[in-house]
Amino acid sequence: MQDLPTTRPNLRKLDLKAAELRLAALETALAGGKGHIPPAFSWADVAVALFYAGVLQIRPTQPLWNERDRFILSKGHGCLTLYALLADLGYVDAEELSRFAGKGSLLPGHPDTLIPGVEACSGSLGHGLGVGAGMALASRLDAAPWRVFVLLGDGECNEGSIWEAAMFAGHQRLHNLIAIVDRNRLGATDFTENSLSLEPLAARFRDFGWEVAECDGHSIGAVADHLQEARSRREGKPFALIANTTKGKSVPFMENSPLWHHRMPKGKEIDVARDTLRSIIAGLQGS
Amino acid sequence: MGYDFRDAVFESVRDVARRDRNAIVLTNDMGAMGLDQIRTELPAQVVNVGIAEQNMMSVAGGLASAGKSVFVYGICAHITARCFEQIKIDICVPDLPVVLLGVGAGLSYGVDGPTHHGVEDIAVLRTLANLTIYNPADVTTAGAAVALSYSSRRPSYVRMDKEQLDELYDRKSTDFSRGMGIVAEGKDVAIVATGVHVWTARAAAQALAKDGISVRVIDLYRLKPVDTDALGKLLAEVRAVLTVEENVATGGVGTIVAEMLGDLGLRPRLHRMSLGDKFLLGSASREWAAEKFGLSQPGIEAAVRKLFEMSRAS
Repeated sequence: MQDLPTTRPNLRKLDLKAAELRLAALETALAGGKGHIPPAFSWADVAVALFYAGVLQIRPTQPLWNERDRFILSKGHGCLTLYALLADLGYVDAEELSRFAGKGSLLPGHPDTLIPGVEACSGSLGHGLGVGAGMALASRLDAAPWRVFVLLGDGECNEGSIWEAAMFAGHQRLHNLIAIVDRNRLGATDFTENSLSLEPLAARFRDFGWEVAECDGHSIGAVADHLQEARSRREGKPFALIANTTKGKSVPFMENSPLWHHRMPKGKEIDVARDTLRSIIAGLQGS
Repeated sequence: MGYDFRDAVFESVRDVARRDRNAIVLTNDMGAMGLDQIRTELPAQVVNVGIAEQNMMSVAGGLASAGKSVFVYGICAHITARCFEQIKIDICVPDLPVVLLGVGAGLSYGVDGPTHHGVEDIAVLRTLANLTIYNPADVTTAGAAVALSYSSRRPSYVRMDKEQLDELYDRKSTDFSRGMGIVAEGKDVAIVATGVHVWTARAAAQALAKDGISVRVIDLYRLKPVDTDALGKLLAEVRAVLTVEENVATGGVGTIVAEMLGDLGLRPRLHRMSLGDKFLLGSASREWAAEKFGLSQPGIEAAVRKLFEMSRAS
């Protein structure tokens, strides 16, 4: 299948990229004095699977290439990772990261369509799946090869509009629409199962006409395998991958804590977070 | 069966869809004869998305961002407020070619209760940058509004009344890009009206002329953006202005004119006629509202006479 990537960097390199993106995301937030660090960390490995493991068919030098795969970060608050990779891939100048959320700078606290590589404005939750379904419908109407990938937050799946879109995509059998749920089990202030429970989440998507798989969302190889397999399909149902993740992944004091959503590290916490990520990077570089 | 707003609008949509296979019509499970004709002729270009307005707007944005020109059809009250955020974020922020086609302007569906009253939609959508809003008073304007919206390649909202109204304008000789038309000439008082009550205002002006009160009636059929220079000139020539609309008191034509007069430093005596600041419970037929709020020929005549006397005394 010609649109499938033929090579994938080795997993260690991909893990290294994820660690580097997390560090860049942290530095971006620190530069701006704000940002959602733990929600960015939870999908960083999924991001690497998408952008660096050959899943997304994109041309960073041609952000508006007609046949590019579309990627929508529906959980817009997770944008620190997106910004880090857009800078890394050359969509935006790396200097923009240091101006994050600054006076009239390019990168706000939630992504908008002024940013090269950003396909949809997000930040208010519940929009991305419907927009992605519209794009996927357009691709199918044109018999085009490109696919649509939408990264959803799990808390975001409380929004009714997600289920309107899920019903629509299932009914239309949009095989070219692939959703990834960043299942970190935390919303903004509490665990999802305490606030408005989502389980059985996989069954819910299945009942709406989707094919569903689950995997460890920090296993870049597993995520990429699922997404590449889904991308290779020529017909059938839309596909949802429930990526089981840890919010705040890699920095222990942020991990899996309801306190850590848009809280900023202070004082020694900053040093600990930096040192933790730097040592992960050094470990992956050194071997 | 006469030719109504939906016929005019869907005739215009059909013309577009025939020559542009990238034109797609979405509906939230609403029917119209003209839509059925398009569906029969061009089935791949019509999608019933089901009764899910939020998703309909998101899908419209997604389609448009991928190169489609999208028309979205439903009832005014249902395809505006409920899905306001989708219109804002998924269509207007990225400035995409999506035309909202709303049927049931004002009290078109007055007897169907407050859920169906299209009386807040202008106020709500007028806050959105990049969006053009048309509120045609006749079928000719309605058809032209669709064509202008499509060719602009930007977001638009076209409201449709349920009435069958005659033609106010000549299709061929009228430049609808002006956004307003003068349907009665006069020098004492100006009425700025929109939608169905342009007709009521014109009838009132004709009756008042017999009593020596000269009334200019302006049909403001494009509510956003308004050509304030042109409208300002028309209003600078009179001593009193009356606005007439079948909307809530806030955010519609009365607000538009008051804002504009203030911005331009014009000080004619102004009176704004509307449905007031209240929900209309019960069976609020257009005739009932006409009596209650004076949105009738006699009501408008009385308002003009009062304005005329006051402006002469001052």
